[in-house]
Amino acid sequence: MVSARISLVIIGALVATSVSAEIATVKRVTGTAMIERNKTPVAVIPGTKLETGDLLTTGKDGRISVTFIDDSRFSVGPGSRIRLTRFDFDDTTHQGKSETRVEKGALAIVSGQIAHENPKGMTVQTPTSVLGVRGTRFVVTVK
Amino acid sequence: MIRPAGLAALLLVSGCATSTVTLLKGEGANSAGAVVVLDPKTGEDVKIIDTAGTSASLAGRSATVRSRAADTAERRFSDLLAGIPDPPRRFILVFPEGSTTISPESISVRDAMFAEVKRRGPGVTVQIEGHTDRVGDAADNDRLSRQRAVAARDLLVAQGLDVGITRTVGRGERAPVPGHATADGVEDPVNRRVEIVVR
Repeated sequence: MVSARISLVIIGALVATSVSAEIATVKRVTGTAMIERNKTPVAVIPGTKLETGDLLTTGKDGRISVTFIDDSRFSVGPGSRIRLTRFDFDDTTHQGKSETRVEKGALAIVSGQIAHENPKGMTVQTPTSVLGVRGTRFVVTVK
Repeated sequence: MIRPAGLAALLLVSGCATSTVTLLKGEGANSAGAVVVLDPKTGEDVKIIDTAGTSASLAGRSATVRSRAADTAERRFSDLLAGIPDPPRRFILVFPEGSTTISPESISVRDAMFAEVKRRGPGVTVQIEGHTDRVGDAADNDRLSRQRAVAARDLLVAQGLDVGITRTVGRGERAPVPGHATADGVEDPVNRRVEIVVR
């Protein structure tokens, strides 16, 4: 039963990587960490491609490092829930919009081309606020 | 089934959630930049945080600002900051006009690129980005730059690069090499290039 569920998750991951909706790649993972995609858990390892809508979750000992296709980078700390609400990026013009929701935990961000090209392009939401990102390196925590 | 008392406690917890933002020093020689607290309804700027080390605790339109030394803020989040992936690294390859092999002076750059891919290990990705000069129409140059990227990818894959970690991009004529911004229609071989971004 458990193994059937795991193989389904793996098939899900393979199908997802074959479509080119890739917005970011997981670079490092430690401890308990997972992606929730369309309410389905997806295993996360270095090289896992992320898509818009993905929820990154980490346990008490978990961390995830991510680089986006606009060069922005995330470090997700332990005990976090981070939703990639929106990520549209035209890699020819560098115009785009990025919206991230920190539901819980800690997120360090280095902004990339989207914020560089458009001061209104990148926002980060928390349960109590909305932040506009004008660059470049900052931390958001939600307790 | 959540009992009413449990639900109330849950609402209380989310109602009491505290959010903070802390601006840090820029990476390397980059300046700190800024983070702006926005009005959740109108999107207007409410508070600009533009000094490294400054934190703000956030509640809707209000932001309570607290200043610390930039290094103190850095130490406070050192574990989290250590998890930020390495900055992407760029390598510029020059392809002589009409040629499918890289120019001799680009060979050492290509080798350095392969070494960087190996150094980064699992999770590494390689973006192959085509560029043109400003001869010809901008839309044609977008197409040409994409073709240049695909040709370069095929070449690098033939030399051992894993196609599965690559993506190709065409930037057309809009990103000249620094010092090589020209008027429209001007030929500049330096701008006819492929940039490899190792992430």
